[in-house]
Amino acid sequence: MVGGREKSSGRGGRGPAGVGGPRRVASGASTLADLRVGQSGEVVAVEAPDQAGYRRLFALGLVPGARVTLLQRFPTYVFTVGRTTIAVDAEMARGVGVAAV
Amino acid sequence: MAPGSRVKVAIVGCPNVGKSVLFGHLTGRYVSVSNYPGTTVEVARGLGRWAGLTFEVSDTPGLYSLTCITDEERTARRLLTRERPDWLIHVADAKNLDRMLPLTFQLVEAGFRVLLVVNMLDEARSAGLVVDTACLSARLGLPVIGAALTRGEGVSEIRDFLARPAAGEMGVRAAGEMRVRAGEAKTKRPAAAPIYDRPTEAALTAIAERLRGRYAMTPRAVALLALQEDPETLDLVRAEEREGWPGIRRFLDQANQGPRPLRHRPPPAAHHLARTVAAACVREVAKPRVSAGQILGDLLLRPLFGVPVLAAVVYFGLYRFVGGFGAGTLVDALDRALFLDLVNPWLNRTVDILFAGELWRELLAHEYGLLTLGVRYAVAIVLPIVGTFFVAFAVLEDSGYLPRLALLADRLLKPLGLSGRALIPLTLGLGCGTMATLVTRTLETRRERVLATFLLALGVPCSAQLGVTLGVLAARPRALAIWSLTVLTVLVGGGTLAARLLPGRAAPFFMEVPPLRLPSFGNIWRKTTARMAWYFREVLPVFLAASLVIWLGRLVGLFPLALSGLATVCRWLGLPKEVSLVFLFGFLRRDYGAAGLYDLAPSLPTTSLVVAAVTLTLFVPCLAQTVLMFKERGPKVALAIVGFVFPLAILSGYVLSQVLALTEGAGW
Repeated sequence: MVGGREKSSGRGGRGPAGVGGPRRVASGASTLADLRVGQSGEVVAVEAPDQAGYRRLFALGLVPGARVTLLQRFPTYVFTVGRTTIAVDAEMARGVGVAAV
Repeated sequence: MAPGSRVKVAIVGCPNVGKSVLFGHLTGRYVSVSNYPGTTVEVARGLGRWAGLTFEVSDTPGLYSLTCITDEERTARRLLTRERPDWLIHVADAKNLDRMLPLTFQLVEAGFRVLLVVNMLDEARSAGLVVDTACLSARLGLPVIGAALTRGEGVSEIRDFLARPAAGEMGVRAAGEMRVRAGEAKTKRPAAAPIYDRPTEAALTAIAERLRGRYAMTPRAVALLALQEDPETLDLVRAEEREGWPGIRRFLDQANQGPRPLRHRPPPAAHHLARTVAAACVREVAKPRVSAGQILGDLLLRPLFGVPVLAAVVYFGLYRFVGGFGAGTLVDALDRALFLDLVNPWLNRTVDILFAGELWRELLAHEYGLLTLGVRYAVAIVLPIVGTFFVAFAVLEDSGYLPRLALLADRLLKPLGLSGRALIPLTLGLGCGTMATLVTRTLETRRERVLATFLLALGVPCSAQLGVTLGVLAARPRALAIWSLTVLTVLVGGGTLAARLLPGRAAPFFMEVPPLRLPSFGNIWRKTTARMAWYFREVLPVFLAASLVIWLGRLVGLFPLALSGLATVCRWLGLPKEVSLVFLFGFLRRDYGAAGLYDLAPSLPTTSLVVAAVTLTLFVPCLAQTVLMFKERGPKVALAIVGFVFPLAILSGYVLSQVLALTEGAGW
C-alpha cells in the first residue's frame, strides 16, 4: 500500500518551482488546499519541488494513507494529521493530494 | 559488564517529546525542555552514575527521520554514526505513536540498539488514550518503557534497564535482524521493521550487495538512505566505494526513474506499519476532553483574535518587560550604579597600580579596556536585556505560543524570502543583534539564514540603539516619524531586493502546532539559566574580541584613518564632520554611536539629525555582531553583507537628505 494513485514526477520538468502558478498534484485531483474548512480527506499522493520537500512532508506524517482534516486556510493552512496539528504555507498544501472522505 | 567501563547512551527523538527532560533526569544536568528553534541546537552531554556504573549520556538535537533535512538532524545523525552509542533511547510522544515509530524502524534498520521510551503518558491519558507498552514491545521486538518524564514517571525503570548486566552484553546485530532482548527479556524475534514492496526490496538487496566500504550503519540502512537520495549518504558511498560508485549511481538513477520512483516508497510503507502497530497497541477509552487551553489555542490561530493578542504580547512582553524593565531599570542599576560608579573606577586604579606601561593599562582598563568595556558591556548592558528576553521567550515557548506567532507572520515575511520561523531571530534582534545572529542557525535553509542575518545587519535596531535613538528623536515627532518610515522602507526594500538577488527558492513554511500549556516556573527558571550560561560561553568571547580589536585599532592608528574616510561620507550626506566620530563609535558599539548622537543633537538641525539617525541605524552592525557574522556565515557571505549594507546605508542617507532638502526648500 504505497500510495496507489501516487503521481510523483521524477526530476525537474516543472520549471522553477516555488515561483509561478500553483502546482497541482494531478489534473482533476484535489489537494489539501482545496479541502473545505472542517472537511477530512485521505492523502493519496504527495508532490514536492525537491527531495528535501518530500522528506519534509513525510516527516510531518503526510504520506499516502494518512487522514487529514483542514482547520483553517488563512493566514496559513492549518490541519490535523492523526492527533497532531500542523501549519503549512499554500505552496506545501498544494503539494498534498487528497481524496475527500 | 566490566566495572569501571562506561556505557554510552544517546537520547534521540523528534522535537518536543521530552528528550532534554530525560537528559536532565539521567545526568542531573538540565539543558532545555523543548526544541523550538533556538534551544537544543548543540549536543548536550553529561555523566550519570547509578548502580555502580558510569553512563555517558548525550542529548541529540531533534530528529524526525534519518533522511535528514535540517542541520540539527544532520548533527544528530552524525553523532549516532560516529560515536556508535551502546544504547539509543528513542523518546516518543505517546499521543502520536503512529508518527513516531517510523524513526524507531529506521534506527533498528540501521543496526542500533534501541530502547523505546513512550513518553507523555499523562497527556495521552487526558486525551483518552491507553498505551499498552507490553503490546508494543512484543510487536516491535524492542524493550519499551512507558513514562511521564516531566513528572519523573518511568525514570527509575529506564535507569534500571540500562544498568542491567544483560543490557551491556548484547552483541551488535546483523542487518535486518534483531537480537536485542525485549523489555521482559526472552525471545530473539525479528524486529518489526517494515518490509517494502518487491521492487524496493530487490533494489535494496542489489545496492546492499554492491557495498564494499566500511559504514557505521547496516548495508540495508545505507542502501535505504542512498535509494532515497540522501545527499550526505551519497557522498559517503561515493567516497567509500570509489570504482564501485558509478555502477551504484547508475543503478540508483534507474531505480528512481519514471512516474513511480522507488525513492518515494519506503516512507509510506514505514508509516503504514507504524499505524498498524499503533492501532493494535493504543486504545481510545474516552473522548478527548476539550479544554479551555485548546479553545484559546485554536482562537490564537485566527488573525482576528491572534493579531491583537500578538500586539499585546509584543507591547507587554517585549516593549515593557524587555525594553522598559531589562534595558531600562536593570541596565541603569548595573551599568551606572555598579560598573561606572564602583567597579570601573576600582579596576582603573588597580590596573594602574599593577601595570606600568600605558599599553597594558589601556588594554585592560580605561575607556576601551577588556575589563572596563568588554566585560562591562557583556555583563551590565547586554546581559540584563537578553536575560529578560530569555525569560519572556521561555514563557512564550513553553506556553506553545511561538509556533502560532510564526504562523501568523509567515505571509508577511514571504516577500522577504523568509518563512514565519524567521520571526524569532528577527524579534530577538530587537533585543540584541549579536544574539539574534547566533539564533539564525536554527533556520532551515542556508538561504534563509543569510537573508535573516542580512536584515539583522541592515536595520533591525537592537534595544540599546533603539532606546537611545528614541530618546534623541522623541522631542521631534516629525523626525521620529521620518526615521521609522525610512528604516522600515529600507528594511522591506533591501530585504526584497536581497531575496531577489540571492539564488534559491523561498523557504517553505511548515510547523507543528503544539497544544497551549501553562508554563511551569521551574522550567522557565532552568531554561533561562541554561541559556544565560550558553550566552556567556558564546557571546562573552566575542565582546572581548571586539575590545581587543578596538585596542589594536588605536594602537596602530587605524582610527584616524577610518575617521577621515567617514568624514568624506559625512560631507556627502551634508552632515558636520563631528558626526563621523558617531559613525565610528556606532560600529564599535551601536548604542555608543547613538549616545554620541545624543550629545550632538542640540547643535544639529532636524534634517541632519534624521539623516544621521537613519544612516546610523542602517549602517553596519556593531563590531560584536560583525565578528559573529563572520563566524556563523563565513567570510564570503559576511563580506558580501557588509558590502551590501554599507553602500545601501549611505545611499539611503543620501537620498533622504536630498528629499528632505527638496521638500524643505518647497516650504515643507
